[in-house]
Amino acid sequence: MIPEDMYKELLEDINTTEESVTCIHQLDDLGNSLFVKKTSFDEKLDLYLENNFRNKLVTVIEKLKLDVNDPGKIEKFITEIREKLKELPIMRLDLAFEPTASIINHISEWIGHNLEQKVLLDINPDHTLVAGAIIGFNGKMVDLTLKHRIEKEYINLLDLKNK
Amino acid sequence: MNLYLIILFSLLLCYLALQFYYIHKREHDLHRKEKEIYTKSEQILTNTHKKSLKIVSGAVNKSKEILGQTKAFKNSIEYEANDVIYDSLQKYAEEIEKNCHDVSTAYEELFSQFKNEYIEYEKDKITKLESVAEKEISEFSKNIDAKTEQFEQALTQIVQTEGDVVGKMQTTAEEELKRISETITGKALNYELELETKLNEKLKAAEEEILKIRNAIDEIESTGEKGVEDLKKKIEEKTTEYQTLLAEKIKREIAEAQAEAEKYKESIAKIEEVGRQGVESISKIVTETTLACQEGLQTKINEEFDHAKGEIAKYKEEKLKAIDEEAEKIIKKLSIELLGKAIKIDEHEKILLDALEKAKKESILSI
Repeated sequence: MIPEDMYKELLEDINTTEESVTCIHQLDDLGNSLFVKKTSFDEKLDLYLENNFRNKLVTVIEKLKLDVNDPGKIEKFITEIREKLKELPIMRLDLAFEPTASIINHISEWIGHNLEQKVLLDINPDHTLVAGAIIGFNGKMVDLTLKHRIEKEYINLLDLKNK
Repeated sequence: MNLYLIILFSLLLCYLALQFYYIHKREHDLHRKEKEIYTKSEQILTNTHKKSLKIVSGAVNKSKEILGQTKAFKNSIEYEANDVIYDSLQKYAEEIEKNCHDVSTAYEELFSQFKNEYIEYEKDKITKLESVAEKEISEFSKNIDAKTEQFEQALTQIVQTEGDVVGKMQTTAEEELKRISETITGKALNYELELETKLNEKLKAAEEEILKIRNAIDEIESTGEKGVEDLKKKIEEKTTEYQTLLAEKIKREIAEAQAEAEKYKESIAKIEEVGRQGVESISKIVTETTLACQEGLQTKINEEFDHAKGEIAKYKEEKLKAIDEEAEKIIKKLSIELLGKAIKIDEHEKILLDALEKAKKESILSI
């Protein structure tokens, strides 16, 4: 069982559903290669994992004092991470722009502070929304876009005109 | 031999007895040793348990101590972190508020500009539409006028044709009447002439007869005066009688001729009446037909005109609606495009964080 703070450290840079899917694929590849004895564990890590995540994974393995030569234990460890990634709650964000990595980090930080949990972002850019976002989380959805506001104002304007 | 066997059997029995004794003794020793070991192990376990209890209680106390220290440390860190987070959050909120205010002001400006532009655009569109509609209506009215003129011309032609036909019929009827009356008058004159000729001939014959009688009288006069006188009287009587008869006959014949002429006149008057009635009824029928035709045409023209007016109104309404919808779409698209372009990426981020705050307040982000 991996402690929560280690999960936090390990999944710190995985903020979006896309990144999560990529990470799961990489972990799957690593898990499939564990019982191949031709290459060392380090080589496998280099081969299958993205550098930043690889380093974090190595740190956690060291902290947990896991035997890297025991493929069974490492496989169990990888499966736990995989399951944790799959269980993370998802927040859908329909945005009017393509957010940069820094903006995504800011949003994740904000969510971390305010919701006190790790949440994956499912970001869908839609330029017609003008600004703001349509936010969907835990079965609820709210339209806080400027487009929505403009449409409301526009309808009011038409009502005035028709009167 | 038997003795030998008995001794051997006795020895064997002794041996077995000895073996049994030794086995029993070893078992007893083992049992004793086992008991000793069990007692010792029990002692060891008790000692170990006591020792472990001591260690565990010490560890628990130590852990509690560490936990207390950790909690205190954590609390102190949390207090510090909370202060730092609160300060940064407050600054952040202030910045966001300011930025939101700026964005809101910019949005309001943009919106008012957009509103004015929209109103101008709408006015312009309506003016254009009105001019287009006016043009279309004037064209349509021209078409209607042209059609009406054509209808009127056609109607005039029909009326003219009908007038010509009626005139021709009247002329023909009048000519026919004239011809009939001329024929009748000619016949009457001929008959009068014939009557006059016959009368003259008869008068001439009567005069000749009178002359003959006078001659006979003159002869008689010359033969004797008395007889003459009687004869004269007789002749005079006969002459008077004959003259009376002749005059009556002439009168009767003249009356017959006059009656015949009257009959002719009556039949001419009847023919004239019938002709006149025929002409009147024909002209009445023609007039009625023309009027009905005119009314029908007028109704049809009115219907066509109303239909055309309705179609123009419908077309105008549809056109206005289509233009309105198109204008709405264009304005919406333009405003969205313009506003989307006018907002910078950092403003987008601020608006987004603001939206998240709002969603949090509206409990959208609660689990």
